[in-house]
Amino acid sequence: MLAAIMTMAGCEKLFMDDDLKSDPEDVFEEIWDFTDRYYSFFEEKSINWDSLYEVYRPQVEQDMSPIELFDLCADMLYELRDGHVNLLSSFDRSRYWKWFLDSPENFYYSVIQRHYFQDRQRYVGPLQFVFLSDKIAYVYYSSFGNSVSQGNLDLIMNSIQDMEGLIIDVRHNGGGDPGNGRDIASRFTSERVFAGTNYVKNGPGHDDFHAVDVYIDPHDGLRYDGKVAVLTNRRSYSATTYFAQYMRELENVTLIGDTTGGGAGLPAFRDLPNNWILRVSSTKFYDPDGKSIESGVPPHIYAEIPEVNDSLDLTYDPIIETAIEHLLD
Amino acid sequence: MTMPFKKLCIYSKKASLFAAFTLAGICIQSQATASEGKKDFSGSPSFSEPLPETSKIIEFSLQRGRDGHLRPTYIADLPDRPAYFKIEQGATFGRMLDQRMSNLHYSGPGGMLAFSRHVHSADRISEIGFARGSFHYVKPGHAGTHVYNPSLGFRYMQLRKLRVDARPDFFLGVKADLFGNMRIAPSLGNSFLFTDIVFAMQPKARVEHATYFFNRDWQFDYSLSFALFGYGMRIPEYGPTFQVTEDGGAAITHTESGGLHPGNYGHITTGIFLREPIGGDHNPNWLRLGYVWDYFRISGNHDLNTYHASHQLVLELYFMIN
Repeated sequence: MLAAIMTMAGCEKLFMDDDLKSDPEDVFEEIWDFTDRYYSFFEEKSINWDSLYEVYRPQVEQDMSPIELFDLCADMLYELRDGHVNLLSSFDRSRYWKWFLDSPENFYYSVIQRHYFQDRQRYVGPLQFVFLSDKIAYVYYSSFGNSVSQGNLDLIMNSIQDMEGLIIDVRHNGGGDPGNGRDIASRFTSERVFAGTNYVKNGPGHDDFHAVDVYIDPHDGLRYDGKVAVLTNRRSYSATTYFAQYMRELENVTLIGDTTGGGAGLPAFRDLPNNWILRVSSTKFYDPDGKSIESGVPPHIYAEIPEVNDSLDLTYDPIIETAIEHLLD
Repeated sequence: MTMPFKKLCIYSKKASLFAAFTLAGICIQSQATASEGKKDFSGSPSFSEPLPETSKIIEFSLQRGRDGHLRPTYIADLPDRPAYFKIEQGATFGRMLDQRMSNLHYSGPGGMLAFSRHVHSADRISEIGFARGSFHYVKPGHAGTHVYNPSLGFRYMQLRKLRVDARPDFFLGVKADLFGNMRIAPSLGNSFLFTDIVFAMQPKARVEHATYFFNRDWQFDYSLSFALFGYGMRIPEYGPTFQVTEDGGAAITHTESGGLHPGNYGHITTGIFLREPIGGDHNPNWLRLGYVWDYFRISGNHDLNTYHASHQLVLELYFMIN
């Protein structure tokens, strides 16, 4: 019996599928295969992943260097045109940033700091909060990765009850936890609102999805029923796009600025045998009209900061001014 | 071959089943033929005084073994179902492959801790494990990333001795396990949780065997169990259970559940233990030092399987509670 125990224990690898090898061909196959089974936007973006395999697979050679292999795989992943697709190694991180590089900046934090905060803002958790006048309050939220608590929101809700309007600025907010967006949105509605449908991959087929409806439920405690303006630009990405979509469905909310950057696919990841990590979008989100928000949520009112030439006026933010004008209208 | 040499009667309300767990490993209960009101100092067997009904007694005696040396042994007036509080603790080394998460093998060290109520009488063993936990910190071969692998569960076990007078002691029965096995993988600013919840019935065999070497008797236990049927939930079947994005959370659950059978679930647990009494005359407790190998496989849809194996060096402590 002792011999049987030791024999079985020593051979446990025989009871498992093989570990992956780290040679270039295995690494490439793993990248292509994982993306094939988990990436969520093949149909929406009309990407023929099989044909890309035919283009890139022949270029893989057993003796190619890690950098050569990385660049080849990065080029293939770039074809997905997705900011949530990354290949991470110790020497580089592949990325797709055209979703904001081709668009106007539309945000200068120093303008906010110098001409709107003027060192008067409160730091309420991750939120920077200031009264712009006796009628308008302003909140800047720089990252949904920094969690906002109910206590933070209670303090702000309590402070703005007599205000005519609130501006929530999420420009240059690169995302984080969509749950923070739901918590904030729940403070601005008194009834349950259907915000859209999240589709989660549940099989290897490019069209295998499981649908989950997403609702914004009103918060039980302090809420604000005045007018709200949400400021967005192209660098409002990922969870910020979700937030913009949640807020867009609320009656008293107006989105002002530019279309958000998109990034509506929550990422899945995979460890690769050569110490790289792959991340791809594995969900997609449709608004109540059945329209994908992967390429961004459009504003109700387009507004922009003129491009940097010699005419940039850094003494005010035209998008904030548009919001103030709208809220006081 | 054995021969009583000296007899001590110890009155205690916490006497225990010690005859079955002596150093000699020899069942001497047959020698404890009661003869009320009569003392016999001339030879075997030994006898005890009549006792108050509320008291319990342990008889301690020295007996001559096969080697001619004297060793302590016990005759006890014991409860029918002597119960122990059992603490299992151990160092482990785990290996896992969860194809929902990765196609790589992850391995690394860990630990385990369990608390049970254990009953070990002459003809049966039963155990209720009301808290069992383990934790592994595992990495793939290139050690670039890491995964936390906790497991929590409950256990019920019932074994019957096949022949009371047979040597070695052979027990056969069933073990029921309910456990959740999780993988938490932090990666690129996100953390991903993968979970399996399993309820499984497993036939279990146990052999208790005494052997003699190095001038003393040694008590060894061997055990083997394997999966027969059960019910399992993979949360979800395809992708993570829960995705934590930096410091918040987003549930993207889609659960797969269904019956488990040898075709989609394999589970083998086998171990070897050395058993020793501890605590002296008044505290008839014992411990087991052992090595356990535990392996399970869950097959899911789309050829996405989960494998988990662990090597465990275990110290079990048994403290009598009745």
